[in-house]
Amino acid sequence: MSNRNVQRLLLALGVLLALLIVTLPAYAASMELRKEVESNLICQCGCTMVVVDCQCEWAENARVDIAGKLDQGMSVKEVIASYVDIYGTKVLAAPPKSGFHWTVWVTPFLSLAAGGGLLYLLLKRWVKSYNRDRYRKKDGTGDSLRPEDRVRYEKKIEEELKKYF
Amino acid sequence: MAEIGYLALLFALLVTLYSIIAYILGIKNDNKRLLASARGGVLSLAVLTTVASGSLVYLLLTSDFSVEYVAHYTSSYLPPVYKAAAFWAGNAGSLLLWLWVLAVIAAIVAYSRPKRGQEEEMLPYVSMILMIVALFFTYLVNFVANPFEPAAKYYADGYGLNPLLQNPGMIIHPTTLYIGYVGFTVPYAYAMTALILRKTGDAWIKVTRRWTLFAWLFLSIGIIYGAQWAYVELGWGGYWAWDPVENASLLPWLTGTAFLHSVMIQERKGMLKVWNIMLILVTFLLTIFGTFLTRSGILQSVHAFGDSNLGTYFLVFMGALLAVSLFLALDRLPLLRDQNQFESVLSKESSFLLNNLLLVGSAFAVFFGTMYPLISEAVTGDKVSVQAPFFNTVNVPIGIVLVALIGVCPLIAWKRATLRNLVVNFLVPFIATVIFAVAAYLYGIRHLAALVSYTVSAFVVFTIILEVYHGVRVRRKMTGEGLLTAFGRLFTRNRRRYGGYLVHLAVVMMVVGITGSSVYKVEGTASLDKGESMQVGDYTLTFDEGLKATIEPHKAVIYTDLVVSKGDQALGRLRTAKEAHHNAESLITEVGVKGGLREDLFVILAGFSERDYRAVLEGRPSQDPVTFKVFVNPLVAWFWLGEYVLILGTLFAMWPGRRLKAPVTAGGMKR
Repeated sequence: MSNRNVQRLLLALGVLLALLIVTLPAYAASMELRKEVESNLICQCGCTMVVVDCQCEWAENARVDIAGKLDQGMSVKEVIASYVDIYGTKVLAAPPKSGFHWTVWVTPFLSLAAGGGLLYLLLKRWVKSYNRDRYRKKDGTGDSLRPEDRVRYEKKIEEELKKYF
Repeated sequence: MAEIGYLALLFALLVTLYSIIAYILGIKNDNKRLLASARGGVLSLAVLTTVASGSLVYLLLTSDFSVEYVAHYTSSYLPPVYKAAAFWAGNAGSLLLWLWVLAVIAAIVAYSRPKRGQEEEMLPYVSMILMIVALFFTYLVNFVANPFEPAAKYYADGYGLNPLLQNPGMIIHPTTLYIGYVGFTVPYAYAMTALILRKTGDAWIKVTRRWTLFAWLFLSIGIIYGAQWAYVELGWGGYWAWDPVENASLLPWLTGTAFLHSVMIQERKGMLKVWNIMLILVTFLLTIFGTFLTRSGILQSVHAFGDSNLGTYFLVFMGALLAVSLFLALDRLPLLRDQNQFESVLSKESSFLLNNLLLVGSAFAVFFGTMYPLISEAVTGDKVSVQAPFFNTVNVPIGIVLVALIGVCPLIAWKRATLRNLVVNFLVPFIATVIFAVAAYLYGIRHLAALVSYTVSAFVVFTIILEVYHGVRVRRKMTGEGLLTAFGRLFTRNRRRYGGYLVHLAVVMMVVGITGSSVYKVEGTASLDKGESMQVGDYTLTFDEGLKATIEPHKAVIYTDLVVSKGDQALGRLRTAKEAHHNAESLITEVGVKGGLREDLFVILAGFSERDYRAVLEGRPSQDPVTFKVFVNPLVAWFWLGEYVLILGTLFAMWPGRRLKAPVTAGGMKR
């Protein structure tokens, strides 16, 4: 191979590499966008799966349509909105974060927070109850451990230790 | 044979009724003979339902199409194993399975040898409650969904089993799931008995510990086998889609897990009595709710049995159970009020409470999300779907905190944790976890969710190792045993605790699998002409043979064997297919999976032209491009492996431990 041909080949390879560097990230990004849209839409063939997972004809057509819309420059939100316009909110894989539908998004977390708060208050109360009893016993005003109970508890501890070892 | 089954079910209804009445009168009049007779009724129910089940299996295996159920769910060409599995393919059969399992469990409970005292006194009540539940199912299989109904017309051959159900997973998944569901009836019955008898101590919890673990184990196996079935049979590359019916099986698992933990507080401190009663009630109701959801058709699901009027019966039954159980709980509320005392807000006890909060919170989130389409439609008129984007957003953070808590819990002291013992206990696992996190980051795990998930999982593993290390060290110091002996005896003498740790380890393995297969899943789709290859991850797949077909009397299989290699390493061929069944509207995908501990290569024959479809069926070569969808699912095998460790750990915890000999008193009498 002559030097000239080697130069041409190198040039071609360089151009190819440059093209790959420019186009691959864009391709990967476009794949990510497609996946994002497909993961947020429900297939309308009746299978109840999201488009990205379904293999039916409806899902195949939707994938082509989504890719086309993204290639035309529509954003993820716009593509999703275009499906909502046609099929209504039932095409969405999760309720929109608007109006009454906020309830589904916030209720689980609010419930957890409320449960956590309640638990903390209960724990504080139980700790307070324990401390009150302890001080009463120290003062001699409360019930102290009866001798027979003490023997019983010690025996139980001994049995537990035997069981453990 | 159908007549025998029919009669067996009819007699089953009669003996169930008799047994309930005999129990009521026997308890009321303290009539031992009547109680013994009632117990005989329980055994009779078990025998009669076994006869009915045996009859159904016989009818299915012999393809007796004079029975509607047999004609509807089998055909003569079906392999015997799937003919037998058609037992639970439809409403009537699955209800009979439920009744059969319940009857056998009720007989085991009724004939168990109770320890003297409270347990002996409880048994007639428990059996009566189990029989009341059985009465509901006996009524259904007799009058609403009878599997022995004669065929409405003549069938030369049956309609056949849904092709999606023709998978080994569908033999194990429904049976184990049902055993799990039904198993929770026993602790529920004991809880209600404790309320009726006003014996609200921990006797009922101690008696039912093994039953609860048994139910929980089978429910876990059922759920995971369901996921395995979905993975290989539904052909979408995953194993959990947050489908309503999948969620329905997860709900009692979550509350059952919470119950398993919270009973420990009642056993140790006599606290949370109301909470435990409520938890087992909710768990039991959720097992019925799952069945209601599958049969009512109120929500769309790939697993549903379709619309039927059975949903109404289940709704009424759930309502009645809830009303009676709540009435009992409210009536006995003063007895359930315990002397709640905690030494410190920061203690092992409080970490158990937090665990309960998160498990129940997660169950609520799943329940709310599952039912939200109905709520939305009722309130706004808007039809919405609630799928993975919602459930993942809500449950992933809860799940990560829960897993972290698995690590924290063993290291916190009972009663009161001080700053000093927290530092002492957490220092080593904390440092090890930080080192792991840095190493994982440097190794290339940069995805935040994955990094957090793996770090938390590593933390749990470190704490378990540390716990075992401390246990062995203390044991050796106290007993002078060798390392292996101390290690072995540490486990065998504390089965419950170390069985629990094994289960925690299993959960970590599953989390590793779920994280890997969700975050690092690689996929590719390509339309290939004969001879072309596609690259997905490190794998190269070559479509070199074109499409082929095999034609059987009941189905046509269109398949191809792709040549698979990874780098320079040839991995052989991998078959992926589509099947056309006469009783299915669309083609059924049969995925090709090449799996290992590191990853699964998952191949779907996604599509081909109508022309090629006809050509290969006529024996001509295919010509058009064929579409393949390929996934590389990392670490998914860890999810399945976790299941076996979970089984091992639960069995280990359930296994009867060494019984201590009763101490001998001074007079030589055993107490």
